[in-house]
Amino acid sequence: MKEESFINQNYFQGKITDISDGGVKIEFFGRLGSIRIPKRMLISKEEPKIGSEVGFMMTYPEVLE
Amino acid sequence: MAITAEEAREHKDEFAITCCRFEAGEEIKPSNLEDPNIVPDLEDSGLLEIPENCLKIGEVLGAKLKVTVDALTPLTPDLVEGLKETVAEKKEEVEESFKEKEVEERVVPIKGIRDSEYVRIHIGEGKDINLDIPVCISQGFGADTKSENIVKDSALELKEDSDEDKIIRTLTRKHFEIDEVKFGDETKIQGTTLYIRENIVEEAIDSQDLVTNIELDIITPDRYGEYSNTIMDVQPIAVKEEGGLGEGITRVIDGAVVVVTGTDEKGVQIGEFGSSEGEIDRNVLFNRPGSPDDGDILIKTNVTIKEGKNMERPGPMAAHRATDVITQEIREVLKKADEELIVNEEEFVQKHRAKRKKVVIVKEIMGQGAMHDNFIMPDEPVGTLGAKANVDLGNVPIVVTPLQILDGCIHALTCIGPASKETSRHYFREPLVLETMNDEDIDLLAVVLVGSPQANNEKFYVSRLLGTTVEAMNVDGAIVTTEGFGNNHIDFASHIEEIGKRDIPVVGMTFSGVQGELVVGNKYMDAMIDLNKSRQGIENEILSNNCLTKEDAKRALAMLKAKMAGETIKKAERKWSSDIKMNNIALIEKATGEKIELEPNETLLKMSEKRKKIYEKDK
Repeated sequence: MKEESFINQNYFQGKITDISDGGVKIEFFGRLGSIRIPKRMLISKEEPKIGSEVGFMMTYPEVLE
Repeated sequence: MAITAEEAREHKDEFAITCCRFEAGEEIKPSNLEDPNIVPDLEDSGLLEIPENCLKIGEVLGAKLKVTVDALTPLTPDLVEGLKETVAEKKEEVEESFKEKEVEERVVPIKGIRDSEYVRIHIGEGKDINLDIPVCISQGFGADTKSENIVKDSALELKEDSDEDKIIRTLTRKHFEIDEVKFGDETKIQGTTLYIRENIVEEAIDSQDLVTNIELDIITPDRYGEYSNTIMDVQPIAVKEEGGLGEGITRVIDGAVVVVTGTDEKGVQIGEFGSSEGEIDRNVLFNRPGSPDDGDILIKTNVTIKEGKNMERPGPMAAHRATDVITQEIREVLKKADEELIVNEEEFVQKHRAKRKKVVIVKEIMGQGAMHDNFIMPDEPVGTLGAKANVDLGNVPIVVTPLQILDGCIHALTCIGPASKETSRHYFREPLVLETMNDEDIDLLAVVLVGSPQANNEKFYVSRLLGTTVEAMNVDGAIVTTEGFGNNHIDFASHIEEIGKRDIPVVGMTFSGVQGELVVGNKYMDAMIDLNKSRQGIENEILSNNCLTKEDAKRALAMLKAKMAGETIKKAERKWSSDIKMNNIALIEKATGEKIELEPNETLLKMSEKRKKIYEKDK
């Protein structure tokens, strides 16, 4: 089988579970884990609140050799 | 591929090339024409050769094909009939409308004559009557003609165009050389040695509740290879000898800078995501405007704040304020230091250059709280006392003079990606402000600072205010810069739109590269300078690596001048490549005859473990 790249963008959704000046924690729906990102990476109409839902495109992380 | 009507209008001055085979007699529409954007590629691959007499898109629309033509045929006058004489007509129209405008403006009548007040004096019968009437009232007694004269004289006259060069104010910087820093009984300057009081840290620690410990270390160049916690700021040591910020006289120390570093009690770096901890000589790009210079003595504080407080606004603020207690004591002795120790005096002049293009610089600074904040307008250069944080000021546009920026009106608390963070020292030596202020073709009016809030609705609120501020300045051009990358690019784009939609040529400057690709854009973002200098186009956590430098300032000014002169800037490539910058530099060097020094990047530094493992595995 030929080596192919599995770059496939999926739409993920999650909930904000923690907010501090230094960063925001987002837990994915579907028990797919969580990420912590700086506030400046988050796009929001108003100040983010705990419990807000977020959505973003992501590919499955692929190990680079 | 064929183009749309709107694209045809946009590209009316580009060459008209057919996109497909068309029969004789057919009317030439946008759908017959090839996309001018790919024409250069077609020429390169030899599929297309454009003759000198090739017509432009604006000229051929509406005309008819005389003969059948194949795809990719440049339309020349012999192939086309019924050409409209639009171009010449348009030019005349434009000139005429300009003339009309001029005439109208001169005939502005000024209204507003005040009615004189009457004082009625009736004397029926009297003798020896002496009247003493104050002069101001007596003026009102005059006959009609007289009063009209008075009013005319005081009426507002139209300004004559006697615009002349004028020096608005100057700032003198006196440099004091320090080549040794030692601990001693008291803080003092003796010759070229600075002594710092041994127990000064105690006061610094006591001054802030959140600070549990401070280590004060004097790092001489031979110790640059040592480990340091993340650098939160690099600060010049300066004090006002005379006047307020941006005027008068400032004294500054050469050869030594204050460096603020720290962690919380658990050892977590006081940096948000991305920090520059590690061996100093592997994690700091020296000799940038905002970083230490090679050879500088680093008066380094290692501040420890209460556990968990590194991610909240008061934490980093406390670290900065505590360090400032030490710097303030040095400022006080610098103020009294002997004039004989001055090694250099430089003068910055804020000048109004008559009849030159008026330009404003807009600096977007981070304002999302915590480590994204700046203290503005302290009492002393780069101090904390007397300053207000721009987050507390609502991130609204703040107008300052170019000299105030250079005199330390900003104390930076920005702990964003170290590679693109503008430290306090950066503003003290701001290259864009210096280049623009000293450019003989430009009249730099002011610098507008605007913070970047977190939420979109606040971003646009602030951006609209910025638009009005710039509009009121009546400028011919503007440059918008931002530090860092992320959601601040949303307001960055909005600021450029607010300025651009007011028909003001605008150039944008930001770190973008590969990692900071702009997620949002608009049609006014057609002239951009990328501040990236890293080999791979990434934020690589090396202090000041991707910050604004002199070469970026030169490119930005050249681009702005081109835009103000009505030239178009070529579109950017879709993906980042360092070639574009090299081309621009070559163009500028050719036009000005001046060599532009390129700044080095991280390839000059020894590779740290972090770089090897995380960022540059390909080396």
